[in-house]
Amino acid sequence: MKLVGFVPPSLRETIGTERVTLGPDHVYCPKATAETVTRVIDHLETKGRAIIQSYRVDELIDRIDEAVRLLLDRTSLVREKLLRDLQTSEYDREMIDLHLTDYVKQFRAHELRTFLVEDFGNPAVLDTWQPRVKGGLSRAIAAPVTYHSWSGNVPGVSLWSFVSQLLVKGPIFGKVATREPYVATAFAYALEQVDAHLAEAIALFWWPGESELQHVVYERVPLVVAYGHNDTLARIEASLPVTTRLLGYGHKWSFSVIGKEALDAYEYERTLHDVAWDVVNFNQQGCYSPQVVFVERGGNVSPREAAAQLFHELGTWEVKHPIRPLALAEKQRVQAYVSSGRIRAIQCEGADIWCAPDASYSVRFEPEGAVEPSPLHRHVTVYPFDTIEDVLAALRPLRAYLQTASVATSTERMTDWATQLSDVGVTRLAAVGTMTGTEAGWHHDGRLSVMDLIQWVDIDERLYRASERLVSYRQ
Amino acid sequence: MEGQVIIVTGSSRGIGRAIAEELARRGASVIINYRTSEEEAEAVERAITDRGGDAYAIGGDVTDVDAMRALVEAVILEYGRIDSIVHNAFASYRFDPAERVRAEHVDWASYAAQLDGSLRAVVQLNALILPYVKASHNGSIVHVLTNLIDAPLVSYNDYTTAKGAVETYSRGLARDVGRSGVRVNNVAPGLVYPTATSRSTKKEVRDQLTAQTPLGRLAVPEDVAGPVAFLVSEEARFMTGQTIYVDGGFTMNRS
Repeated sequence: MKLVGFVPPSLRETIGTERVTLGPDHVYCPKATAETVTRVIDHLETKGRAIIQSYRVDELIDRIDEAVRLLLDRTSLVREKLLRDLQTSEYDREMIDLHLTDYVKQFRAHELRTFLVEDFGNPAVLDTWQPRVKGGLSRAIAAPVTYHSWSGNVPGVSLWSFVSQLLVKGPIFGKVATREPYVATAFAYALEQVDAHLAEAIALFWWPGESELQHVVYERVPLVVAYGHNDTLARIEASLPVTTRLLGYGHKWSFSVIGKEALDAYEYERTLHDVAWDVVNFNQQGCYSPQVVFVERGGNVSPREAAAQLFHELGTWEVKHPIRPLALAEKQRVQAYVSSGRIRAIQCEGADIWCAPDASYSVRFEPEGAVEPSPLHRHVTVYPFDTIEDVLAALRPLRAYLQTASVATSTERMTDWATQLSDVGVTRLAAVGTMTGTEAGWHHDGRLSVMDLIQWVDIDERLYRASERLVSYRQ
Repeated sequence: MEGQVIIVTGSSRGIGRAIAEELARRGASVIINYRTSEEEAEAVERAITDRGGDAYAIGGDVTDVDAMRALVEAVILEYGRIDSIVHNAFASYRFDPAERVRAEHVDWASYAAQLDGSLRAVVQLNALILPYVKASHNGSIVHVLTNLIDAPLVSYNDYTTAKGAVETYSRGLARDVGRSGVRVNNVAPGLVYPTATSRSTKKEVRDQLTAQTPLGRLAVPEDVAGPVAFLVSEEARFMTGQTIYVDGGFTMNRS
């Protein structure tokens, strides 16, 4: 029986479960009605809030760390159950197993302290009034309840905002992603196992995208964190009262830039092996997965040879991490992309496509033509370039969507390219082979992660001085 | 090896020098052949004679049959005999993993140049000296090859193909000259560092090699000298057609 979602322990007796179908799975999730949702939000705002605010930040870090260790421990039931639940995902077991460990490691105590210090400087502002350099005191407060709406199917993406929300001591009402509801659920239960008291500040529900219940939530919360396609975010924004803020993480586009140094006769094998991994990991579903690869001319290995070799590398990875059959809509997108590639290969001198017999992965080579997005699921186009200006020109129209660029070149050129790429909107520069592994304290889409969840409250320096005059022990 | 006259081609520096010095230490009169490094060759000659040994530096490009004919004549004039030869010289090559030409792109001209520099040089020079080596009591021919012929960690295919050809040639030759008392063997060292040709091999590659070498380091020129001297000596009198790998155990197989 698959359980999805989470109800604060003290409400469990009065909020039942209902059976729903999520993709290939039948699961039980908390009964979602206007009444239950309202009751849960009431509880989170009052009891949940009082409880979570009674913890110091470093105590919360320790609790989260303990829960995370349950997910890291290969012998724990929590992890075992989670891996079983994830079996119906499109990713093979080994990829999930490896990823889960790598990903969840980022939420251990040391890492959490790092992203708090990264964003706050002095994380004690979350606990109480802290002196400011400018004078006066400040405190950082989370909303009474924050709504997190997750989407996508890369396992665990929800943990970023889930953990961030807990760290700022704000109760969380989360809507789990249809295609991957399990990691958030597992984490919530792990946290309850560590500290049932703290679990009173957590609620996870599921409902279909069009459900009216989201509006019940929008009326109640001052802050919504939402992941999804840009049109979804636009719709959410349109539905929000003017007093509710939206923190949206929309559809993003990432790419690789391979310099000729990375294609000398010694480096090229490792470079292309790593680029292939970036494409393969999570079947390109992550916002940080590369959709296209720009390859510089003039290396020992030409862009065309690199494309051919990349195709071969995808084949090698496919043996280790086989790709599952795609849903019809996805298959159609892939087919359109591959057909387009074949036509281009005939029409255009120099264009080419290498495709697996069952179209489970492919590489296109486009010496001219505008940059086009990939249908994902291990299909990528290689564009040759002579100077970085060629790459920038291709990317400028996509500014709103750009996120991660992996770069393979010398340090001097890397920092120069990073400057220029960031000017066209890239928010993260990564090494090839690591695009899909973000670092603790990462500025997701260029914004501070934890800071967005809080409001600052300032005590004026002059108020402080004025109060000092009225203390009982005044001389 | 007292009284034996042994030619070591390309022995003005590196592996060749180490071989020459070892043979001289064992009593042989060593011919220090060089192509352009005259000063270094004379330094080797001096170093040997200073220690009480006998050496004679003679220049000549191994790919030039006339130069080799003149070298052989000079040796016979001086010593009246040639007992053994160690073929260490080869057409110049730069072992640069990053700048090398990948195997599928190596053109015929490159293969031809290496075959010329390695195989042809060996064929020509062996033809010139064989009559003398046959007359010797314990004559032997040794070719210095490379362990890349068996395990190309990095592919320098023109170079390696030519060396592989020399190995095959050496076995056919061993078969036919065995009855005349001449032994033909090979030594296949791994990367020997530092030498003029191996200087372009980056530390990272050397570290990778070392990591896969049971004896935990790369060869130095002296490591190669011992096995060569052994093959030339009486001790190896019943060995012919063999290739000894001197690479710290990087390669382990039947030769």
